[in-house]
Amino acid sequence: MNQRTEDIINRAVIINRLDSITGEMGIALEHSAHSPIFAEACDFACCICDKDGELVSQISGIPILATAGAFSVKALLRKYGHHIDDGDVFIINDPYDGGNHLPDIGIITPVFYDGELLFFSVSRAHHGDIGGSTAGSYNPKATEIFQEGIRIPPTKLMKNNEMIDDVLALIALNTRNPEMLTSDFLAQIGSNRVAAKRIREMLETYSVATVKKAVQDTMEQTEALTRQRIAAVPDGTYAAVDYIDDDGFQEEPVKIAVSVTIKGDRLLVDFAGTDPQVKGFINTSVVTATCASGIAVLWFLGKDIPRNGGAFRCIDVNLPKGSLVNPNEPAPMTLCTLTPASEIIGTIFQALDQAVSGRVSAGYHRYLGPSYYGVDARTDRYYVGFSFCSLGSGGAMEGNDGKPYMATLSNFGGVKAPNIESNEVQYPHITLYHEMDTDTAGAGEYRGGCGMKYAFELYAEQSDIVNFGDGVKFAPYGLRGGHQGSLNRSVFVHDGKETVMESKEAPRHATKGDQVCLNTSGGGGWGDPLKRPAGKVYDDVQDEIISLETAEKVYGVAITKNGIDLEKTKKLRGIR
Amino acid sequence: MIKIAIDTGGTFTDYTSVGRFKDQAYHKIFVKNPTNHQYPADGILAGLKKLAEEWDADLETFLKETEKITLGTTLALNALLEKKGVKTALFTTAGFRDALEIRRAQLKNQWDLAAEKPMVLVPRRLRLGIEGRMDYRGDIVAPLNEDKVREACRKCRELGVKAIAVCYLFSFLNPEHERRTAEIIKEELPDVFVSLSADVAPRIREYERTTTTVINAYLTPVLADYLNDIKKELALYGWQKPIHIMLNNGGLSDTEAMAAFAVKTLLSGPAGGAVGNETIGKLLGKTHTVLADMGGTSFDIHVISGSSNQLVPQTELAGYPLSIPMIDISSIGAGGGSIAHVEIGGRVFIGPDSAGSVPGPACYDLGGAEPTVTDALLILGLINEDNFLGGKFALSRERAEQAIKEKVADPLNLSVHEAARIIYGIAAEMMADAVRLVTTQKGNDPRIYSLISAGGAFPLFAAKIMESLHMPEILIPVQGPVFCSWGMLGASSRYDATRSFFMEKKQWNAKKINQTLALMMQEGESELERLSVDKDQRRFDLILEMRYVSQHHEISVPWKQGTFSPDSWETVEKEFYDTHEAIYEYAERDKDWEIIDLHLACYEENGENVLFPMASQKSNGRTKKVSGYAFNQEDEIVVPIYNEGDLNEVITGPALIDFDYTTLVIPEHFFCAPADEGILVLKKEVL
Repeated sequence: MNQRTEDIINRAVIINRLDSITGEMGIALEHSAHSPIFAEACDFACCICDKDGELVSQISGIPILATAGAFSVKALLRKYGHHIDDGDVFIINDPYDGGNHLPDIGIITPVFYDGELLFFSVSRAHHGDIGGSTAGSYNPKATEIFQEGIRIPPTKLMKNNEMIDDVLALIALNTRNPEMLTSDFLAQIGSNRVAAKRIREMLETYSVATVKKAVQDTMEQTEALTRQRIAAVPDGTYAAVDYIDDDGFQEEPVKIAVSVTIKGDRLLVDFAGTDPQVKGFINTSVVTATCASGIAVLWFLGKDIPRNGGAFRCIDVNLPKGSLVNPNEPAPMTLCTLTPASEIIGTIFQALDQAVSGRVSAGYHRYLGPSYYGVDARTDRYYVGFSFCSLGSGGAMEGNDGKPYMATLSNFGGVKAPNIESNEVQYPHITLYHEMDTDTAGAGEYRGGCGMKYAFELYAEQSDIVNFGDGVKFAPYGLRGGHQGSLNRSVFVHDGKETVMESKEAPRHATKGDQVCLNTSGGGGWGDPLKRPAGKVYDDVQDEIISLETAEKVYGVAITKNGIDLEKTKKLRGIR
Repeated sequence: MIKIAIDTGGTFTDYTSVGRFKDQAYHKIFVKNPTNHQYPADGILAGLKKLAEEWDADLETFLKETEKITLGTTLALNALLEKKGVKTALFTTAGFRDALEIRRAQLKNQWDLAAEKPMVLVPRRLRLGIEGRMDYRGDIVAPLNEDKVREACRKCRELGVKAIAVCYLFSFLNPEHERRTAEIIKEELPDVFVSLSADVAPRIREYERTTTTVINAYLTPVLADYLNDIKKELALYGWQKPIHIMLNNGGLSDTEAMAAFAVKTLLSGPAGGAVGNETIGKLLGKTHTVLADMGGTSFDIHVISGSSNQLVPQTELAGYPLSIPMIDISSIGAGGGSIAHVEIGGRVFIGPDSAGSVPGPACYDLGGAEPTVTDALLILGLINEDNFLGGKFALSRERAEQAIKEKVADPLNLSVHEAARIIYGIAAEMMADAVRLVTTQKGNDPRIYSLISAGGAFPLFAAKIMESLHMPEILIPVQGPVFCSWGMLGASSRYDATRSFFMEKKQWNAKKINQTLALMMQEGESELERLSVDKDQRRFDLILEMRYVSQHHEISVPWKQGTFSPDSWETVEKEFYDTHEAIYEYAERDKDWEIIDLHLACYEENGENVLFPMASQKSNGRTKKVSGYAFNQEDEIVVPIYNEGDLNEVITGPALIDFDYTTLVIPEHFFCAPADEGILVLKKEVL
């Protein structure tokens, strides 16, 4: 057989295999983990990097995390260089050195074959608690990273396949649920081990040289494809600005300014003009800002580009030092993987939409919801719960209405919201309602996904809640004439008295019978609402997605008991 | 007497029959007949008439001599895929009517912003909230508002609803509100089909439970009509006995039970293959087998590790989660119709898009312009051009060449022949990977498994896949092309009982678990009684769904020691830890665990099944010029072709064996020999 034919077959086979290995890592991790945040909500990602830390394959998990693994491996290589041995396992979370934010802990396992370091298997997962001043590790009032939890530089956790107990104990002792943390490290180590085993099995069949060549060819192929797509976009500089409500201290909004410059097959995302770093925890690590930029651009360039190092190396990012997106130590930054990561992506979308229409979506909801913690009297166990059911909805795209009930853009499609039943078994609260909310979807020819209303009552005698997020002042943007979606809103009810909560609060004490009521944003709309087919508007009214009044006022469709009033609709829509 | 099994497929329906007609000799006959999608019951009747002809009888006489008919049906699955169920409403707990639509926010592909969620089967206007609430213990927090139920019924009547699914929060712990709702619906809307989540899938997780119940409500009236039609049509020819229906769980039930549970027939066809896999293993004394079935659009795999079929407690189908036990079939989009394409940059993909049977592969010359696996097989000389699918299609080599040239060869700057090799090579490795995933991923070494070949296209790839996985042998049954219907002949009655049952290690109470188990046994006994299963043929297997107390996903732990004693927990614990370690590469042997569900399989000991003999036709020294690639050789070679009549001795590669509906490739250094009646074994020479 001719050599090229053989190379082509090998490349397809080896890359398929690596992809299925990362898929397998993800399933193992989801099913065996203990923290609800990553077992139930799948807030984790797995990847395989080559010996230089270039991302080779990632499949499962959260976009903003999936691509971050490479940075962790590069940080590890900077520190340990040639002192990495077979049987070692490393741990890392420091967002100032290869991490994205503290709760996401990376476990990195080098994969050797015949004494040669060839790959790293990496799992990054969001742990329920990593210490710091607030349970659950989201502390909206933190002003330094030291208040947000334990910082772990690249550190050896296992040697000769044996746990270094002192290191494990040092980390675990600094957290509120050391037992769960330990179990979840074991789940991550197990998942990495699955990958290492599979990679070695593959190397038994194909030679090291064949595998290396297949990986290298694939990266080059991906780079060529990405460059070709960039070159097809008209040259120019496309700029957009968006705002974060506030940082939990200052009243003023915080500006994200982005300009994307395309010249030939080169693309630069520049954050010049973005506000300086702030006091609160919405500062952004270099890893998160870079990943957010990369995934935003790749969404724009096409779903078929493999998300590996070959694609990411085509995207240059400029993060001004001392700004929101590249702060000086020890600025806090735990919220960054939600906000501003999602708003960075949204701002880049708004910039790129000027270059080519129809490839990106209107605004998604911003995350807002409480974590809650205390001792569960039913089991006497300490718990930390996250409000994963407080998701809002997605923005519309040309050709598609927005998807209802989605994670924010940075977590798009990766987070799995828990069932209400599982939540009630797990935490001492009862859910009052959880359903779509009328007149929240951003209007448009394609409308946004419908926002949600969600409320629960706490029945523990004593507990605490921390409300955090964004989007109570700035709503999901519309595109090409589409309207904005609705704002987030959260209300705390004590003794029948309602208090509107801020988006970044200090912990609030709750007693039995207190309620939390949330309204999450509907997504932004795309295109002129008057162009939405009247039949779809009618359906939306029947389904209580929009009210009769909105149908008439916003969409120009008059509906009576007998159906659509065609004459009046024509008049409202200015059709003769 | 004769036994018949029918497997309805996408293109063909297979009819397999064994037994004695009147006092004649024992016969085994199978036929394939095109599936009639428009009038499915008529199609079945036409096929049975054709089968009767093969037995030299008219249908009425033939049915008089028939003792059992087993039917595998894809009707429910097709209705789901094509969204052709009935107009269905959903009653949910008030305030929670959107679980079905909002799903759980996760998408398969995180890199596709425009990806649509699968279609919502009940529009929001037909999802009606009913007041009434249970808490996490199943205790009533708010009573059922019966007026609201009646009001909802009125709305359903106005809108012409044909089926209603009822799924309330925590009904798996306390079904009282669901049961009362069903009573009211029966009063208000006696002709509407009602399905309760407490009956369909009594397990925690309302999204998955709701979806399963809705699918059942949506499909059951369609299936019930079809089964009724078949019953009536067969009655015209004198058939009064039950018609057995093949279920997802690899067992049989009857038309009466399935008139309420269409969701249990979604994998009706492939389940026959799973039973066949088990049967072949038993007949040949193999404990570890992988059934590989390559058809037109997909490649299905079913694994048996240790003689008997294991079910999975939940799965996903067509984008919808199903919270009911099913055979563990994995499927990838690699079939004869799978399309090959080249990405910019040169990476080659096969599937998952398929040309289906219309327009089909380019070589069918029915307008398909995309190069498929079948086109590559034709170019490589591996398909019998004169007798493809029993001579149904004349194949166009020119069209195949053109499609491969334009879409694969030219972009890669290679010859058509090299491009065909690439398609063949990648398709083979994709299938090998799929087998690898279901063996190694579950901690099983493929090197101890026998591969069983089924489906029309698989024998063309079998040797390559066996080699890639270092498997010791492939078994090729002559009934491979109708394997699923043959498998159904060996199936027997089965009923799966599931109960939500929470018990932590520290609450261990043998009496309590035994009590629940006894109730489940009772339920199973009465269903097996109804299906006329002899008392001494009844079997019961218990599975504990378990996890660590702080975990969120359970694993299946088989329990083979009968009822529980106060110290059984020690054995339960050990089984759990061992199972956990086998799956996830670690276990914490000092941590607390819990049971969350009990699952009791109630079934009839599997029936006998028989192998099919080879035909007697010999090839008389025919040869063919083919590409050497599939035969582990460089250039074009001339290989001998054998027929079934030649197979009573060892045949060494390179060679081709022509069967009805399929062809086996024997590469250089491989040989095949008879293993049992109608079964060949293909092995590699030890060099």
